[in-house]
Amino acid sequence: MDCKRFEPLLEDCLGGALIESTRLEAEEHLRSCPACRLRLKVVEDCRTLNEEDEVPVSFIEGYRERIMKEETLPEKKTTKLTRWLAVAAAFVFVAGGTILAGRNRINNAPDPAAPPESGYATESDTSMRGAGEMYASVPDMADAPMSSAAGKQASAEEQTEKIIRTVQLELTTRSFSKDYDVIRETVLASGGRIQEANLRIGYGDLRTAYMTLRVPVGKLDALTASVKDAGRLVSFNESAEDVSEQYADVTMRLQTQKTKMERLQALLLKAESVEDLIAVESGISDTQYEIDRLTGQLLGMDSRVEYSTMNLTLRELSAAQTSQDKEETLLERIRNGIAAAWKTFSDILGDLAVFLTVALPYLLALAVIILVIRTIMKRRKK
Amino acid sequence: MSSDHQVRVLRFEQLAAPLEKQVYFTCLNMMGNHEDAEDCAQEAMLRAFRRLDSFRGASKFSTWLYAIAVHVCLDELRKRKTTYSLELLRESGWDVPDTAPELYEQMETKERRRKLRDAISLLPPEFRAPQVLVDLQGLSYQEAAQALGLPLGTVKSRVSRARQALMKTLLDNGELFGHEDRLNDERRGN
Repeated sequence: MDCKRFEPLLEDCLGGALIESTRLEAEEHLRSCPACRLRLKVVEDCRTLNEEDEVPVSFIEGYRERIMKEETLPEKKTTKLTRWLAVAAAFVFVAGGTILAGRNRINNAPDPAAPPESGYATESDTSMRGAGEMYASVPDMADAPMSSAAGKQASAEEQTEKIIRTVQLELTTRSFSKDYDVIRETVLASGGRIQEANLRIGYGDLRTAYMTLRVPVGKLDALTASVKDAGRLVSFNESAEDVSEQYADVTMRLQTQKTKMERLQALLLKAESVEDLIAVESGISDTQYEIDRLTGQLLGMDSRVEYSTMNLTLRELSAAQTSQDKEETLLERIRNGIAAAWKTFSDILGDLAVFLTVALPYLLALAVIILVIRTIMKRRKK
Repeated sequence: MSSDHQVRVLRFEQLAAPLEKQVYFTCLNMMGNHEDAEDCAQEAMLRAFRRLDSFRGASKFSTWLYAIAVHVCLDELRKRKTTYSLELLRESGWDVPDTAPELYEQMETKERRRKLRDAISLLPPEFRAPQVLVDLQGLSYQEAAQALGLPLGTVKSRVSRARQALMKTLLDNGELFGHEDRLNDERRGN
């Protein structure tokens, strides 16, 4: 037997588990090999190395106490739960930040349709009173195609019939800014003016414009027809108020006052005493006041007759409501849906990028704090 | 303390209490001093308690527990980054004098143990771990391989090398031949 054969038998040799013939061989080898004799003795000593050592009580008490305090869930489960919580918290943090960034983007973006004052408010109500304040010369009435009965009346008997026309329209649209511009351009091009325009941003950042337009009576029908095409018509209402009688009455009263004035002026020339003079002057003053008042009434009525009022509401639709916008084919609806979804997606990506950029310094600071805390905790554990 | 926790503690104590002494000694032989051994043994017991649910009975509980203890010690030793000489592990170029085993035997048991401990502490941790499990804790090579997650052949060769290195340290440091006077005195005493 040599050392290589002996070594694997060492354990059995110590335990006395060798069969007789092998034992004899092993003993013979041991007699001639001091290295294996020493090896055997060393391993034998190793087996009893700790025989006399005592286990400190502090270890036994210490580990039991630590186990008792280990009230929390098993390490693995706790780690898992903590990880999920951390992931959820991170998600909420990033999503919340993205939404906030998105809100800022919407609020800060200059709206092409909205007046600049409406910039920072989610809900704005801004008047554009006086916008396009230009009274175009009264257009040629013959050019305008007339459709309604009231229109024809106004055209044919313009000198005698005094009709005030009012149109109320409600439209919905998905391309709000574009349609708003189209309406505005059309009104201004036809010689009309925007008397009032209010913009309101409601739920889901959807906009609604309330407009009061003044349109030359001759262009009203043409304008109504073209505006109807801008979006989808939801409601339409037209009224015609005949003020001919009232107009004639006021004209008569004005005439009477004018005649009275002429007479008073003739009397003034003939007045001899101071008392008469004063009485006539007072009469003239009153009459002049009455003439001015009646003339103003007539001019007001003329203006309302010549420029019809159009109350228009333009409501923006969300991407999900595309089917309500105009009459669309299935393909168009799908295309619009995809476009809307892509826009939302790219908006969210942009918002996310903005948020992460803004939050980066804070995230870095947070990471450093967490690292420091973890290091301290680890050291304490030890 | 919740009843669930109490049940866990009781179960762990039933399994681990008979082995606490051996866990401590495994750590003592790995670390070489009582202070570090106590820290590592406590950490090992706590780690085992936390992972009790992951013990599936694929090995003996004692093997599983020693494995945790050895790994706690190895982690700790790695952190310290002590450099160990690999010179001891060279097989060639050394010779055991005929009288060496007898001289070794003649030393006092206490002294022999002290020298052996010192020699073990000089082994690189990767060799120390299998040697401690096999020679000191009496695990089979198979169990040691399982505990350390190493192939059986690797464990066998590492244990063999570690034993050689222990012998070499005892010889090189003159433990057996450097104190002739003392040994002679002892012989006379006997």
